[in-house]
Amino acid sequence: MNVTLNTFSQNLQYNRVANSNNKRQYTAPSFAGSAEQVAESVAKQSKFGKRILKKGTELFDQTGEWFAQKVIPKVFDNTVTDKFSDKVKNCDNLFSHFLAVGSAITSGMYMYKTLTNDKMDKDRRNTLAVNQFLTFALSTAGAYMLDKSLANWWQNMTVRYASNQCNDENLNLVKEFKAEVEKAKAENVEIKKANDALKAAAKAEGRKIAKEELQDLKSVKADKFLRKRIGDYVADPKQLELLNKKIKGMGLLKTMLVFALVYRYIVPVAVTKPANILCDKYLAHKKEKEAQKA
Amino acid sequence: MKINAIKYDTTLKQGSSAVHRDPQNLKEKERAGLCGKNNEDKTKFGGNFTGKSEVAASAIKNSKIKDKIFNSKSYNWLLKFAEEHNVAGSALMALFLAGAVRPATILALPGKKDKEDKIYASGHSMASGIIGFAASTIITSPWDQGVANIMDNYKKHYDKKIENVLAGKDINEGVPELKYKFKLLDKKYERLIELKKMAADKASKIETKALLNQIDTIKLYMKNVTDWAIAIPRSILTIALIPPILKYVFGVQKKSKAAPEPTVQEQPKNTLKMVSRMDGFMNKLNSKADGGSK
Repeated sequence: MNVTLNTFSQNLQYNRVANSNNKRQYTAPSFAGSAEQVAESVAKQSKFGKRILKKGTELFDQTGEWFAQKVIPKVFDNTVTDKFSDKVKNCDNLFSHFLAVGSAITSGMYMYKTLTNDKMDKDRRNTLAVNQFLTFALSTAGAYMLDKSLANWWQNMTVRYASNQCNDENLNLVKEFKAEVEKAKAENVEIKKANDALKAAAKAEGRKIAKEELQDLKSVKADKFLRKRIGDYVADPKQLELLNKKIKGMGLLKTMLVFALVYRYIVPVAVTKPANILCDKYLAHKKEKEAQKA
Repeated sequence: MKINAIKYDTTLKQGSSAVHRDPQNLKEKERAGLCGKNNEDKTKFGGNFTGKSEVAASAIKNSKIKDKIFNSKSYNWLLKFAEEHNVAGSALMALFLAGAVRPATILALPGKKDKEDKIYASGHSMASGIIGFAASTIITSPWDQGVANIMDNYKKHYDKKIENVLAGKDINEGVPELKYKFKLLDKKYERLIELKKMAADKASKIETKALLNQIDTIKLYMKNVTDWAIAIPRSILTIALIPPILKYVFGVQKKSKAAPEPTVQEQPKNTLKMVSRMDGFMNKLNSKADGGSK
């Protein structure tokens, strides 16, 4: 049994003063909204918060607009962008390449710093730089491999995500996608056979076959498949655009997660223990050498 | 029987801020029920601060955990963020892995001997994750906004023009104004309009697809080049800021492994001190003995 006893006394001087000085109407706060709404309402009530929020948004928009007007066209409106984008436009994992290049720059910087570090002796500098390069190469190869091996599973996940967003109760999108993948697989078997026959014929004629003569293998991409289908489920153009954006985000999220997992987690954790052992061995060896010299 | 003593002014006229007028303690909220307003809140407050479940119910029959995740607000926010801010999205993944998962794993690794090293490595990992995310977000978010401004403006402008062409209307009817000058995009979109005006044969379809792919690639390229540009200053900043962050935020400082052994030069000093102390002691003894004899 719970008894709640209110020990508040009206006669207390403190409360009397407080009550006499303040006769405002009571309104109970409501917690029915989301955390963002509550934060927004607090910010709305606080003039300072509102001003800060407004200033921050203004500054962000102004900076973005300044970049759009003055910097981005100057840097990218040229033939280099045209040629580069034309060359890589059909690349499936372009974002992975961007991440790998970014990592190469960072690793290169660390290697340069190591090689120009005067505090280390030359042998150790070179060993450490080679070590850094190998770690980068192995990490990049591992990230690409993991990214590729997860591709099919993640495509299915993407279609399932779209089914959820489209309220597709019976998972028709998933079924259609699977059917299309199977169809493409069957067609690819035939295409491979035809290509092999063409190659054999060319060989018999004693010439090398041109790439254009061969038929391309078919591949079903979840984002392209969904772009055609989700219009049947989502009528509002704005919602459709947002969903397309999120479907694109699914592919990017996978690559981001895989690269971060390999570069920032698996390799550093795997390297920690062997690195400690090697470092201890090196220090012991150095001490021994110094002792021998003395 | 349980007695809960509370001390609240039932008149509720204290005049405190609008947010903190009611009992804030959840237990008190549930049990006190001293005023009608309070009880009203109780029906809305379901233990979750957002007031409603963060995860919307999935429309899919036999829905699984992944469907619940796909419908959650945070997951959808993450997808949108990953699509809009590629560099900051990658940094967010790195923050999660290097800032939380990696330190936890390093600390959980067996080995009591190198505990200090592990603490330092964890602090280092957390600091690098935080700095990387902060630098990437601050620099690249307005840049991404700038890229989005240009691309959205061009898309809206030319989509309307294409719509007019297909509807047989005046090409400039109701077309949003172009706010930016980007000749490369002008060239690509103008070609798209020409293709739309032509008969829809296979070649024009292939060219249209290639042009749309190239426009998407230009957007991805413009967004991700910032990662390359900031890679070096970001790593320099990370290297420079890690020691103070470790010291003042995490309270971790790299200590030298072994305590310094007394050097060869220090030994005579210590010996001299000992000898002088011994001399003093012997003198005192002698003087006492002399006095005694007197």
